[in-house]
Amino acid sequence: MYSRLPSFLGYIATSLILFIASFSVGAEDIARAIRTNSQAPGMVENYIEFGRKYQTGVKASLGRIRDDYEFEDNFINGSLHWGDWFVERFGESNDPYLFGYAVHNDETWSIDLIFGVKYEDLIPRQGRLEGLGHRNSATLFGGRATGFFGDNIVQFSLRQDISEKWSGHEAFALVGRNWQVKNWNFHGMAGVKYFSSGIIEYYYGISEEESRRTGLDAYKPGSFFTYTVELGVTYPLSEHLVFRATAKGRTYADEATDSPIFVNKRSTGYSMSTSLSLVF
Amino acid sequence: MMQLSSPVIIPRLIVTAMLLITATFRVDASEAKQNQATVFKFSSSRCVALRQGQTCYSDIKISWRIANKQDVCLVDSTQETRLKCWSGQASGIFEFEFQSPESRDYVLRTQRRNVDLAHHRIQVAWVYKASKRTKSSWRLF
Repeated sequence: MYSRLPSFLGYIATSLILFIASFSVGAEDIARAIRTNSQAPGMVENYIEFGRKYQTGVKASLGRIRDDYEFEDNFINGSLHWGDWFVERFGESNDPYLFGYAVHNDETWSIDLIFGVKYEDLIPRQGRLEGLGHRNSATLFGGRATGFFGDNIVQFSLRQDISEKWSGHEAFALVGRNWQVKNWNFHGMAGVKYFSSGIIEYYYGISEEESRRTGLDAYKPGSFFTYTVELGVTYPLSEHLVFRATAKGRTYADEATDSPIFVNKRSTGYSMSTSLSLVF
Repeated sequence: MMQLSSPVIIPRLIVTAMLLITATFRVDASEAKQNQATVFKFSSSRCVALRQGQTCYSDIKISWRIANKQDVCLVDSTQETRLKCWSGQASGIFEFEFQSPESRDYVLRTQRRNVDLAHHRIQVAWVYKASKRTKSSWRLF
């Protein structure tokens, strides 16, 4: 176990270096604090919002050659606190429910322990993927540190899969900024995310047995980094109605798209979305 | 020449003072009565910010009308600052950009006697209420 530590720290160090060197291409989509323009550590917010969004864009695709897509969907965003315990979700970006405990907060930093279930139904077993084995969701536990420096927010997170079916961890770092123009609240963020080979192999790998069943080539991927950027604006139409518009860009790692699971193997994806939310 | 110490002068002074005070009240009451038909309209009475504590912005148009021409000022009574004054007018219009993280009160006030003829509040509201968790050292359950 301890022999893994230096390589793991190496991954983190590399991740941070890449993050610092990639402000123009990095981002992550677990930044509720940035999206809702929270400007101080240790802020307690209790709200729930129900919304509907329209999204269009291009992405690497599992099931078809075409890379463009559009859809409308309902979502739930929220943040609820009981003392130092909290549950939060930014469903508008398909973030999972995140359960947490606030371990520490001072004038600059908030540090939380977080727990959540991710990657449920990431790989649909339909059509050419029908013969694949079922990929279970990940049960991730870890820590998150959010630092507030004026209007800038930095966030680091490290999560380990604690399910017994497979092992792996993910880490992300992001930097974001809010600015207000009249009642329009703009945000921008950039970040980098690291996935260990355990996670990637489980979801995007194809075993010999699956290869025999599906006819797809066997595939054993390694770890990778992805980068994302996001620009968005939020406008309060009333005390209970919020409009949002968001543009996102991201990279896809070759380690993932080289998997025979992917049909369209784009290396970048873009999306634009607008939404209306009822906030309570 | 009348002596101030005269026993007659003191009651006279008291009566005169009372008459003056009564007259003043009558003028003020009359001023207020004259302006009972005051119109003090704001294009919007509510400003909504995204987050509690943020500065809220709103373009506001104020129109006012009183029964008789006089010198009046539009005053931000929360901060006691004059926004605009008019001389010998019975009506006026004023446009400005409201910028405040909190609700503010505005009055139409006579210049001569500082009588508030009308009052209006612009209420600041927000979508996300936020309260700050107390600063803490490291803790675990």
